[in-house]
Parts: sequence; C-alpha cells; structure tokens
Amino acid sequence: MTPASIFERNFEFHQLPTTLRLRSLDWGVYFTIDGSKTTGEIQSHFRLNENQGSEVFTRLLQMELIREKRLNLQEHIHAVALQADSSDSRVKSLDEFIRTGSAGISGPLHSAPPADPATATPAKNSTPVFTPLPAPSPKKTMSLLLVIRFIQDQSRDKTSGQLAVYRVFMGVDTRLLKRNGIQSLRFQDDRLITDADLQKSISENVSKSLGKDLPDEVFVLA
Amino acid sequence: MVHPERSLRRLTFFRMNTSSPNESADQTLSRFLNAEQLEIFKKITTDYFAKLASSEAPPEIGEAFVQFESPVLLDYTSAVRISGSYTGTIYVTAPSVMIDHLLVLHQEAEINNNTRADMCREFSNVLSGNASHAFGSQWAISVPQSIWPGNPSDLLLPPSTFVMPLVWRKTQSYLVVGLHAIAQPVI
Repeated sequence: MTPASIFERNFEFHQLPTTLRLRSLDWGVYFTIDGSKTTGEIQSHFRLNENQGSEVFTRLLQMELIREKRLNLQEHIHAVALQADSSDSRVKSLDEFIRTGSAGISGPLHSAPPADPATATPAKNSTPVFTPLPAPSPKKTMSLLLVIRFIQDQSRDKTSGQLAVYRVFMGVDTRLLKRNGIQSLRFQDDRLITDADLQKSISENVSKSLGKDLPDEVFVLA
Repeated sequence: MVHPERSLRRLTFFRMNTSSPNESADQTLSRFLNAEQLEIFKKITTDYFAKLASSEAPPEIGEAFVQFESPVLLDYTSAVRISGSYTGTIYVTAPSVMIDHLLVLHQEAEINNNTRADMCREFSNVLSGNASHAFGSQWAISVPQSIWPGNPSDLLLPPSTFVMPLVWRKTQSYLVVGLHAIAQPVI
C-alpha cells in the first residue's frame, strides 16, 4: 500500500451486516473511501500519519470491507499527481515528481508501458523518457450571473447595462437557449451552463458586442 | 372571441444576425437603442397614466428581463415598428381590465369589445407619439398597429425581446422592445 493507492468498498451501505462494529475513525475512513480518493488524501483529511492510516486501512482490509482498486497507467499517474499535490508542495510538476521517485515510485521510469504487452519491445536504452498523460479535465461550467455582471460592469448605468445584456443575447440562437431550458433571462438570476455550444455562442456574442472577451472568472467548478 | 394564444400564432418571428463582421463594438453600440432615450420613453408612457388619474399613485416600471421565443402578449396590444440601424417593434400589451380602467377614465359610457378595441387603437396612437418623441431623432417610427382578440396582425417580432413590467392599479401590463439587425424569417 502506498499513499497513491486507491481503495473501493466491497459492499453497498445497505448490505453491511447490522452486527458490524467499527471504531469511529474506521467508520469515517470507510465512508470516505469511494474508489477515487487516494490513501494519502484520506490520511491527510483525517490528519493521520502514515502508520496510523496504514493501521486503519489494514483493519478494513482484514474485515474484507474494502479492496484495493486496480488502476490503469493513466489512473495511477493521476493518483500519484493528486497525492503529490496534497502532500508535497515542493513538487512542481508531475514530470519532476515522477523523476524524483516520490510517493512510492522507486527508480527511474524509462518509458510508458505499451498498451499491448504482446507487442512490447523491451527498452534497451536507460535514458529517461516520459510523457505524462493528461489528467481528466473537469467540465467547464459557465455562470450566467457572472456573465451578466461582466456585461453590466462595462456599462455606466443600470439601464445601459441591461440593454447591453439584451444586445448580447439578441445574437445568441434562441434554439440553443431553449435546448438548455432558458426561456427568459432575469438580470439577478443565476444558471449554470455546461452546454459547450451555448457557452461558445455567449462568448462570441460578448466579444462581438463589447469588443472584450469573457474572463475566466465567469467559469466555476461544477 | 379569439384567444390571445391564437393572435400570437399569427405573428412572424425572425432569426437575426448581428452586425457585420467589420463593424467595431463601439460602432454597433452607438447605433443600438440608447438608454437615455429608453428612459424618456418609459417616463412619458407612465406619465400618460399618471395624468389620467393624477390623484393616484403613478404606474411603476418593474425589473426588466429578456424573453426568448415566446413573446409576452396579453389581451390588447398597441405597437409601433421602429427602424434605424436595427429594426423591430415597441409595444405595450395589457389585460382587458386595464383597458377597462382607461375607458372609465375617458368617461366612456359603454364598455364592450368594440370600445376596448377603440381604446387600444387610441393608445397605439399615444405610443407612436411617445416613440417619436423619444427615439425620433435616430429611428423611423411606423404607423401604429393594434392587436386584440380576433384582430389579425402581421406584427413582426424578433425571437428575443426586452420586457419591462408596468404595474398600474394593481394590474400588470408590459412595455416591450424587440429589435433585430438583419431579418431572416424562419417561421
């Protein structure tokens, strides 16, 4: 088990025997295990050192409540990067992180393993070559209220701001708006837009109407 | 009597393109509806009601919003087309009860669909005069149009409209501006 290991639960909550008794800390860790958080992240969350964390995970493993998740290369690298972010602020990049052998990776990585082991050619050269795979990028979510505020902030008064918003949205295809359930636009209401086509149309019309691009601040974490 | 929904179906909607690609944002902004002119238009429209019933609270303009696809249309609608760098329609749409209030204030002896239609037409003339006063320096104002149940209309409305609620004597009407740049009929 390393800090980058990921565990998943063997049972749904309703399948747990009613006679099951765990320590409070073990329950906390158990509920936090979700098949995506690394052991290091969970230990950090509960402020456990590596030994304390290891003891909890070992108890849950012995009771067969959890199992270690098998990861593919991309998932593993993502987990290592997550662990690096949460445990070592000195690590500046994934590449550097892997080269330094932190978080349980010992020795240099020579190359990414081929997808098909049958066609694999053993590496003859020990020169470190590694191209990190991109971590899954979160879906961009646009806040309509932040867009409206940005447009209004470019205007000198309330009415001008509202007309500016109207002028921007005049250019947005109403079929796109309808597709996203937007039938009207109140200047104080917020909606989160994940439709990439609608985001693009709004961004283009803001640029066209105001001569300015929307700032990144109008996007929020989903 | 034709339900307002049926009147609505007679209206033609337009999809619009915005300004030409070579035009700067400042150029299009200067030719768009001017906020000061809109404020003047709102004021003289509410003044019309205030003068009719000077002892009462004047009408209030509520928080504006933008409406997509389905235009706000009540029982009686008075409209004018405006054209300039953009073209479109300005209209006031009201429930019949508000028209009834106007008829009473005008000391109309009889209140029926015919007199309501007359009142709607008269209000359309008022609206046209107000629009000319507020926007006439930059926009051409067409002859007024009136729409009520059973009165066919070829009123053209763009799919996006700027709507301002107008509350008077506890009844809600709407002052609406709908503009577009280059018209392409789609419905």
